[in-house]
Amino acid sequence: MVLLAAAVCNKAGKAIISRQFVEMNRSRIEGLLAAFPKLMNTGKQHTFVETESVRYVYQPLEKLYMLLITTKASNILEDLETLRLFARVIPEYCRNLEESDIVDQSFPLIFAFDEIIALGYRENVNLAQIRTLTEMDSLEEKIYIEKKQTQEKEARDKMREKAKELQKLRRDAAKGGRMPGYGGSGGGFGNNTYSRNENVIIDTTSTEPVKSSYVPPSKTTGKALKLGSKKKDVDIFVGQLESEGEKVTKSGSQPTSVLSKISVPTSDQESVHVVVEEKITMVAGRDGGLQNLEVHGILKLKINDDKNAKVKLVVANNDTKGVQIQTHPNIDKKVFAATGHVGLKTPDKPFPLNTEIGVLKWRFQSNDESLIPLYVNPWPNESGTGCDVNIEYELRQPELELNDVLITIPLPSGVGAPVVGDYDGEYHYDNRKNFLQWTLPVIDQTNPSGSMEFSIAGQAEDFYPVTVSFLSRKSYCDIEVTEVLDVDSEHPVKYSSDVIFFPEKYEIV
Amino acid sequence: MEKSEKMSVADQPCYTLINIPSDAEPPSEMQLRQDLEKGDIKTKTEALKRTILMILNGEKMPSLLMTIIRFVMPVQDHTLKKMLLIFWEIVPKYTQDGKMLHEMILVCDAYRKDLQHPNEFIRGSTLRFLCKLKEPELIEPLLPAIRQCLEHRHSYVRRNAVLAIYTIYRNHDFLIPDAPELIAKFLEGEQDMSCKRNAFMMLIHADQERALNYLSSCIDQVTSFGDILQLVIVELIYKVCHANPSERARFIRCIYNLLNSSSPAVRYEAAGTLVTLSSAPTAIKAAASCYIELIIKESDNNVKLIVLDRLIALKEVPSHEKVLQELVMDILRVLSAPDLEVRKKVLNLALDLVTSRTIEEMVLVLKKEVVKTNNIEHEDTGKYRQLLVRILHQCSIKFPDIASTIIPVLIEFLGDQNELASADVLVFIREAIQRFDSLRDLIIDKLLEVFPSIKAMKIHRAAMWILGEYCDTAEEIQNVMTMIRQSLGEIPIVDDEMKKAAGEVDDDEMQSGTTVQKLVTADGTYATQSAFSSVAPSKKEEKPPMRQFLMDGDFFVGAALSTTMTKLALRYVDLIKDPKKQNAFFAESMLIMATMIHLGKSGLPAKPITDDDVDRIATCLRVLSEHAPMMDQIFNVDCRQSLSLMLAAKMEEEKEQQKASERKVVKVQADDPISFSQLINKNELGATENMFELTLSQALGMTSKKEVDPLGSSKLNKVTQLTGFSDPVYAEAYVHVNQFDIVLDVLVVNQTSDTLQNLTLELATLGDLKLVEKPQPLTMAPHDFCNIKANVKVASTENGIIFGNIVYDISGAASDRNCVVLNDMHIDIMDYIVPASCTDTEFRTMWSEFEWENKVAVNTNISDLLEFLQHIIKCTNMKCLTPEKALSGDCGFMAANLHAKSIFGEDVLANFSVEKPKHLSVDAPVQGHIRIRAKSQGMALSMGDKINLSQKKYAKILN
Repeated sequence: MVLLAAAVCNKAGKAIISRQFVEMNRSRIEGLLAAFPKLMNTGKQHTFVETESVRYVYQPLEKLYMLLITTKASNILEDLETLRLFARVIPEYCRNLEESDIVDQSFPLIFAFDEIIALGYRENVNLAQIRTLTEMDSLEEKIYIEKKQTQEKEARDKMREKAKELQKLRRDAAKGGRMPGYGGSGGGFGNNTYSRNENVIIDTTSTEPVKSSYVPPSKTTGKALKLGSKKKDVDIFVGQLESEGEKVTKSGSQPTSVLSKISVPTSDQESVHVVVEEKITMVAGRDGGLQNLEVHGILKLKINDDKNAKVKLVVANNDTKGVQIQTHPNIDKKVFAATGHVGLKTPDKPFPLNTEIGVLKWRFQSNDESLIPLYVNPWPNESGTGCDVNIEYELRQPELELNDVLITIPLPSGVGAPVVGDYDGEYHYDNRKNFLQWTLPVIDQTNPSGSMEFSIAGQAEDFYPVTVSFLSRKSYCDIEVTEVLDVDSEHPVKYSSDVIFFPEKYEIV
Repeated sequence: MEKSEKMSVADQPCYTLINIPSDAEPPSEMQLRQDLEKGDIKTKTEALKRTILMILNGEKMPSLLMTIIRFVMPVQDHTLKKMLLIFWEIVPKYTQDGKMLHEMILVCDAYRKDLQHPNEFIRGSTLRFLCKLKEPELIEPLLPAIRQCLEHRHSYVRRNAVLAIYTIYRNHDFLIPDAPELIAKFLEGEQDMSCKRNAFMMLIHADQERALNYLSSCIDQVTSFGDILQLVIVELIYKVCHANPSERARFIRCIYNLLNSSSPAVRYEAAGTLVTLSSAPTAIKAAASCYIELIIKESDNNVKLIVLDRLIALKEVPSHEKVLQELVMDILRVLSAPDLEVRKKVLNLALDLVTSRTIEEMVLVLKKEVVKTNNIEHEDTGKYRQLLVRILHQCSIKFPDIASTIIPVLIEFLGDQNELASADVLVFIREAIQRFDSLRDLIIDKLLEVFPSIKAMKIHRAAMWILGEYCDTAEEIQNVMTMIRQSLGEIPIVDDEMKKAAGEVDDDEMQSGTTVQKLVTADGTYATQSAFSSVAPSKKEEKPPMRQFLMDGDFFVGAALSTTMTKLALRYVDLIKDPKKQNAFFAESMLIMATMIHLGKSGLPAKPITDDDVDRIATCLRVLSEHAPMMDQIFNVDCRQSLSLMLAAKMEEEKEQQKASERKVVKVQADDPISFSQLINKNELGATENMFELTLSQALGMTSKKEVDPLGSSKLNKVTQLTGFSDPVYAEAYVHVNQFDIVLDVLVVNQTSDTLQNLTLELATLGDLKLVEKPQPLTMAPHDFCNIKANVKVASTENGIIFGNIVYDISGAASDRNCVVLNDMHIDIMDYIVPASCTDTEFRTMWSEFEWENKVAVNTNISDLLEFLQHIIKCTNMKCLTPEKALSGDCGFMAANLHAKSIFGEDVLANFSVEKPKHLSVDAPVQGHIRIRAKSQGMALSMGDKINLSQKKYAKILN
């Protein structure tokens, strides 16, 4: 449906006001409107006229006509519904339905028309909603104004206090014979700051709340008794079509763009599969102090094929942080220490088949703040009415790439949703469990820091502990398997590997 | 020259039009400024309103801009804020030389603040306004704020933000290159239906791939969506399948589901799309059934008519027609609608679709409808009945077998008061009886049965003609004769009437006058008066119909009766060889004729008999008395032959029409290339253009007219010289006529060696023309030239004249303003006239309705009638309604009807009556009149002028 214009015409068909919803030049619309009176047919039982290029649909309203100009392919059913709505809007503003009324109320009418149609498409609104939309009574604005007024009042009070103080000081100084250096500037501020808002009119009339425009899906047919009969209907239809040579594909067979959420990555496993798994436990204080940072890592090996059971792994340890590494008792410790090769003590013995065995373990512990992979800093600021919370993150280890970062901030219960201001990424408010989830799909070098602001009633205490979860495909301790070699021939063996680094506990308390 | 590139007001997008009667004195700029600056909110609002109205009327008020920025913009009042948005929409944003005004930067900051306004409605309406803003310089700084609005708590803000992003992306995609991605993401997380719809709509236009991905992710839930979202989904599917037919298979299921949507609008749209997706019979059937259902269920006539049009369009495709043929009975269910126009469409459609299998059922339904009309009295009932008769008539021509079942039903109609239907029945019967010999007996029996109940004169006459023409056996002829006697009453009529008159004293008065007169003229007491009035009606009823007609003075029926009797008598003589009986029959017939003439001359009837009728009856008398074989031949053979000739000609014509309509059907030629859908690239889809975009561009008038001659030799023809070559300022104009407006492209040359200041082109118009904006004054260097564009709006078809002058000051000279008067420009109405056609009856009704007639005497030097007609048709863009057959041949005179329409929908009719007297030489010019009729005076006059002019012009060229 494309609705080009809505116009109100007088009895002779001359347009009094007209609002266009698509871009068209003036001579065109004037021409279309000028043609209407001549095309308008009286005495027929239908109220539309088609020309070569457009369709006019109209409805008489006492001494006026409500006229819509649409394209010829436009959906007439939809247009008529719109027309009815338009026709009901006019008496809202014009009591007499006369030409002079329309002229008087031309602007409110245009505003109302705007709410019905957007770019030629009908909006899902009814008369009551249009009323709300054009009245423009906003609760948020009122809150904002009130807030501002209290702030002003506070500022004024403060100013008065300060002035008193200064006066006192000056008096004291006069008594003491000393002149304060800054005394003159104190009285000047605060006078002209907010004066512009004085002409704001606060409308206290109650308004009906904006109704959700979501309409619950209505039953499509009255055949409630035949459950599932519709589905069958479609199948019969499709079957018939296919028999007539039409191709029909299953609707569900579209695998595109379905993001499967993987907690543990599974990739195609080769006959030798290596997994590097690191868990981090971190507890940081709210003032920045690191209470504990501990990383546990394990290198797991899984052999899927007995032909390649006799292998050794070449492990590159690029660690500079001072990680403590342990080997499995059956691993040749000396060879590992010397060359970084992980193999069995008895080289002619194969690794067990189809089981995952941890061959290497490492542990790292530190109190060094600079080693925190993702530094999260919530900053609640208690103000008069509530609390403004500023929360920021910073990627301290630039070589890391964190995926699916989820920062969960608890909120005080029973005070409603937070008002979120500026933020990066996305957020989600769970009103049942009372927390705000801030999600960032990827944090890496390109966006090493970000922030979010929100305000809500509460105290600083309410927003702790902040917990963080993420998933990374890069090892924190930077230990990796670079090659897998056959023990006998020293030839490289094909292998697959997974690296996964995730927090076990990551809290700011 | 650059100045002329600047867009004029008429070319700029226009979103608001307010036509305020301009009776009040427009406020001065000073007053406005003061109000805007110092007034309270109410005064400011009023002043801003005045300003907007003035700008809409073509005034430019550059000095107010700053005042508004300084004193109105900071005001927080909601109404004022919204009104400002309209102001920004229409205010000129560029300087004369096409640069953006500096002030707009300030405004831009205000927009940004409004986008962050705590009031969600202000945010929303500002976003909506941004959809109309086209300047990238202004939009760019606003983008962060717009993006933020996408996440606002209120759906109102979000849905408008989506639209703003959409239009910005459409106009300047570099400003927000990630818009599709942004919106796609937004769409995934969105719950509100309106927002979803807008976002989805944006994706459809900006990035179909993403739209498709989204659709396939939720294709199974489509049925649960709201109607506005479903509608755009259907639109998407239509578009996708259009651009990429191989995708069709994916969506058929979805469309079928939508075909059962709860919203009729969605069902309608889905049906339309399903037809484009698949041409398999099942699909077509599903779509057609959906349409039919809609027509029946929706009570609105508009819907019925438009959806019917879609059904008719469906029928045009030959492969679909078969499917529809099965649905004929369903289509006929629509007849329950009361509107005549709907019924007419339905019946015509059904007639086209009916096959030998369904015809019987259809006839049953139609018969039922006919019976129904007897009970309901409504203004349209008569017309509806007539319509039904016509359709039945056509059915029986298409399927002669059913004629025997139809005729008895139809003949019942003859006794009806309604002439319309009865006349059609008779036409039908005449054709049936001529064509199908087997039906003759049946028809004549029936006709004789009903004949006495016929009340209308015309019907009576026509029925009698049929009886006279087709009664073949002696018995039938006798029957007819008896009936004629009955319907005439006692013979001789004059004596009988006299007797009656003598029998009742005041009978004469009673017969000649009406009831009202009786009351006045009666000289008796009240009692006698009441006696009369009670006697009168019964008396009239007693009178047999034929006698009544004659007494009323309609002797034409008498003439017809004479002819009928002559025919019958001649035939009777052939059949019955007994001279006694022959003579008796002759005598009776002649007696009747004689008594009719007698009555006609007696002065008893309301009107005396006309000479024509006397002649006719006398001829018949003579034929009977002489009984010449030649007359026999004429009356009994040649008459019938001419009838069959006429019917044959009519059939021929119908066949021709049918052929013509069949020709329209696209048939695959043997050497047509076969198109493989997989091999078609996107550009080649031209065969079926995207219906949505096509209609939109049509509606916006963007389909450019084909330039026949790019170099414009024809363009040069339209150049009018406005001033003389020796005038200080030379001017000429190229008059470009668009559909509703005229663009004057005026070339102005300064021929002096002075600088001309304040050079202004002042134009005025005569006729139904209106200047859209005043051309701006300009300054011209010595011997400089420049182009000025002016727009003139046209509101109706009339010859218009544009005249004016050019005024200027010479710099340095102290003299008054100089003035050069321009030559008049005549606007030719032919640019607005398009040929149109209508039926004969429509022509006649229009002819009698139209108030203005212009009679133009033919004054030409063309000596051939047909050539003259063709010449006029060519000059006037009219269409000749008289069939060519009727115009061919040379008989020294010609009559033809012409019809045309203006693009404003005004009809204009013309009637040609020209002759070329035989006694004049071959080269003698054609003589006669052309009469033009139109609803408005202007149209009739202009058209007459045009014809007058073109007659003369032709002469000039010839010499």
